[in-house]
Amino acid sequence: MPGMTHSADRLRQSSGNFHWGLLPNWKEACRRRGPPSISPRCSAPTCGAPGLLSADPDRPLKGGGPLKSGGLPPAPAFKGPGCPDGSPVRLAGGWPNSAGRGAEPSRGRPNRRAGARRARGGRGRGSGSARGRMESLLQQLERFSEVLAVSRTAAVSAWGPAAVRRAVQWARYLRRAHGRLRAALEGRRRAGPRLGAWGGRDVVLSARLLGNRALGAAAHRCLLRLLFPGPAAPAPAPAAALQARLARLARRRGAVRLLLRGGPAEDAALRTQAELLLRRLRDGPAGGLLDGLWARAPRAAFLRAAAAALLLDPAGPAPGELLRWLLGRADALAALCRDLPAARLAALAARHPALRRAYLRQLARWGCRLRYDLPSGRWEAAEPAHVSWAELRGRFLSLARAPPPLKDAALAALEAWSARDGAFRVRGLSVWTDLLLALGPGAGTDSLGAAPSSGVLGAGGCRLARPGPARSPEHAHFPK
Amino acid sequence: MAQDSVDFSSHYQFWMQKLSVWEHASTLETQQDTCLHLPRFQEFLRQMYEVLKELNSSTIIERFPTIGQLLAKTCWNPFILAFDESQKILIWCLCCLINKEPQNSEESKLNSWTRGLLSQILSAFRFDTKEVDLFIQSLGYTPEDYCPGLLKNMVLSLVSELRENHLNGFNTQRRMVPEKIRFLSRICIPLVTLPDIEPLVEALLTYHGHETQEVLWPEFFDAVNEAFLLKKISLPTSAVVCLWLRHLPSLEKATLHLFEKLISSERNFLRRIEYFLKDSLLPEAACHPAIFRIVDEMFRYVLLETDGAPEVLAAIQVFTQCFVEALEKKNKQLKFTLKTYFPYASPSLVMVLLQHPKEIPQELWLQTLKHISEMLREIVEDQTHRSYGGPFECWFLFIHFGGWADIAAEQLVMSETESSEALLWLLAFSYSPRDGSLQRAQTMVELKAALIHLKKLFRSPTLSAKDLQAVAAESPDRDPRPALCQQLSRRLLLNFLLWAPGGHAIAWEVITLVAPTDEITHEIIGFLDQTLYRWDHLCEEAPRSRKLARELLAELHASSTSQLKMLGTGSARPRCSRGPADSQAQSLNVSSPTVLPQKNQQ
Repeated sequence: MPGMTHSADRLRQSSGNFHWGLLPNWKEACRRRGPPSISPRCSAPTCGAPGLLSADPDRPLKGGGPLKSGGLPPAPAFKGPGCPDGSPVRLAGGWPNSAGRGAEPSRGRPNRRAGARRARGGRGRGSGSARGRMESLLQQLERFSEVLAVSRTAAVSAWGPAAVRRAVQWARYLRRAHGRLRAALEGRRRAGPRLGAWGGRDVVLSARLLGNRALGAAAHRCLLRLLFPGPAAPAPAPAAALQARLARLARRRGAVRLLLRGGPAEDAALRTQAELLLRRLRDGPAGGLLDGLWARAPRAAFLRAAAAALLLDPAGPAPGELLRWLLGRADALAALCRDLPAARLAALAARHPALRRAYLRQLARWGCRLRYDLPSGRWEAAEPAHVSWAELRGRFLSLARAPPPLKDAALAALEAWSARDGAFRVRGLSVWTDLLLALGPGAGTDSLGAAPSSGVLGAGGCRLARPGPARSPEHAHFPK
Repeated sequence: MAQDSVDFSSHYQFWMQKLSVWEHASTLETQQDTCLHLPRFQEFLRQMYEVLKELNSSTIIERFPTIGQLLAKTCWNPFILAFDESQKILIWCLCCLINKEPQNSEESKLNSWTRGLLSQILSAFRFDTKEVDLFIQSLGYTPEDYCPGLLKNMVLSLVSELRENHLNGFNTQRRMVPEKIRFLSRICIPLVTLPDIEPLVEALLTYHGHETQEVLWPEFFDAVNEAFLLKKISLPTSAVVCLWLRHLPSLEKATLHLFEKLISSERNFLRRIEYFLKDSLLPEAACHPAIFRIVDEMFRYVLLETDGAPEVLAAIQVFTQCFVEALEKKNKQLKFTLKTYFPYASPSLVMVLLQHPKEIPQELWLQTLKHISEMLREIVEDQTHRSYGGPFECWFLFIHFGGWADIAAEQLVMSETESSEALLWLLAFSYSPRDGSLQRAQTMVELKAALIHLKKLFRSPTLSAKDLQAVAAESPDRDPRPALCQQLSRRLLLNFLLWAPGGHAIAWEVITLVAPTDEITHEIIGFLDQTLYRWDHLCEEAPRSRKLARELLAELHASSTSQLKMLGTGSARPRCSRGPADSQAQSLNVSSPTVLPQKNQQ
């Protein structure tokens, strides 16, 4: 689970502010009822957390020994991916009780075993317990993400009804925990752990298991009974709630299919990807995530989504981080400028001045690589991989059609670069002059030949050194 | 039981046939037919589940060998899957099909096949491309996370297309062609109650194209209206107004729905009527004259059908009050002239009636009442005013503002007025519009006598219930008084009890004396409720009278409830139904069906 460790660290620093007292019902319910058992009767929401209420502090943290008797809360346990062996995930850390409210934060790492002891005794007053509990919750989330990962592999063939039941219990429990934690952490987003997607994991797990042909027949039947108890299930029960959520998912899916009959929905799809990217960025450290995506995710899809994200919510902190990352990664930026349609880039440049400057720099670089072919009277790319004249013209056309600030900046840049090259109104001398001419009248050519306006966008000079190659962009002075 | 199973079998055959025709819902006709049948098919699915859950898998296959076909066809129909709870019930049915202990390969095969169908319904969305799939995965999300977001954005994108907006540089510049809008309205029929779709439903309703004909499907309007009435969706008033303006049957259905609610509610206090009315959004929507006219017309029919039942009169009065409030809230400056709302009425009369008594100083009430009375009398009795629709139209207009009649009765008892003649006329007219001048004059004479009697007693330090009873009761030495006179006298008497200094002490005694029957008790309850409601709205400060009215009301309720209990009829007796209305109408002599419709036709 990437980012989980980091969140735990952040939490460790901040848990002094965290009031477990904000979770009275949860706490109370757990304290009163004690550890849940895996009997079917106990699938009601009041049963507390599977795994979190372990009463035995001496149990090893990670699943090892067999499940002992005594109603130890069962969690689907796996040694490795897809190895359900019935051994429980043992997570100590205890459980908060009312006495722990308002306790002073302790220093150092919480003592998990101590926390567990407190939980067992029901007298926990220690300051470290809240931290320990949060940490144990995070560990459980991490452990559950393993369960989720396994749920779509062939390894589920080894799952029996009991494992399926535990997995679903886990998922339901984590939804409740997520809901309460979110409420408790309201306004402390920065202090909170990465809770982003945890709310809906019960649906994800259910859908994956239902669609996984490797799941054995008995386990599948058990799954159906758990997920679709039928109309008899009392409405507020978690079983009924999950059933309703799954039905809603099916209905939404039907809705998407119906709406798609009216035509493709590329914009909506892109927007959705952008929103998910932003949501992920809000949840955790941006740098690592973006580097990881750049390294592993399909780049075209990533860049499209990133561009869309920058257009969605330009003021938010998440796009800010995305923008910083993009400006700091020359290869990503170059790919972005190269792969995205001109109109989208123009929209981006209009929205983000920093990106506008970077884009113009990129255009300057590309322009400098063009050479004028005297016999054909055309600007040609030195190498097939370079950007062609037509494409460059297209980009500038799109910029020239943009609303004023961007249009003005683009034209001013062209004029400045053209001036550097002497501003001779003769074709073939300067790619910038020719571009200005190609953009047609009214595209700022009136001031052709005038001195570049101060230094804001001046300096992009790239005079054609005929017949030699254009000056390399590295030598050009680009605006900061 | 046997009949049930025969019914189910025939339904089964019917739907099997339908599903075969609908297969893949490809043509326009099949789509339309599917949409038309969605609620009924869901009902059938429910029935089927009830049958299947009692049987085991093998028996199911034995009894319904084609059930696999039926369910598979259902699973492949996107309209059914998108409708209301159909997908859920379908899943339950499929779960019944799974054999718990498959004995042979056939049964295992069936299980495996059923699993396939289940995962087809539930395994969430498939991505357009592998690339997107991989990207979402690298983000740590799943198709289940993606699907709701995609739906939301598809809806947003369609909404902004409909509004010809541009969304953050996203390409929505294409303008939607009418065919696409028509298509969307059809697609939305099964989806209307899905909250994600609400913005699109709203945008479709408020969409105003340049087409001369309605582009949206009538079935779409039906579905939206139905969902709105059942409170399965919430729509802004503007969208509801658009719905009703564009689709008349929906407005009629909404009005009938309101009537049904008013009728079925056990006892209609005005507060309750007001709640139902406001909840229906009809008074607000009626700010549009076209809607007002239709709702008003429907009220008129109900009034005629029930021979002027007091409950209907009260509903019209409260409706008008809510409507005027909405009108004032919406715009101080009227967008439409009053003539558009009340085309058959004299504009000056409407102007006077529209004034809320609260906005007029109390000392001027008498003057206003006199003015109203004179104007009405002139139109009713003078044949030259035919353009204003005659007595019935005048009366129908006046009962919209029936609060004035109640104030007239109150003023008659309380104040030493010069203009008691005009007030008496107003009272007599409002209770019996069809009377001729002579009859009305006779009524007024009777009333005046009762009034003089009451006035004498008003300041009297010692009141006896017997004295007062004489006002309302028949005198043994005369011919029986007309029921109308009795009722009007009762009204004066009740006002007297509430306002006379000595009235409080003997109020209960008088009421028990003058209300020997259930009908009269009911009438008195109505009067007290109406009076309290009016005082609340006028912010009338009369703590003693108010307290008395409340106590009397509580007492009457208690006694009438216990009577009902003793009779064993409990709460089953509808109060706005034909029964009491008939008897009321008789005693009120409000509108003889032979006279009023004729007048209405004029």
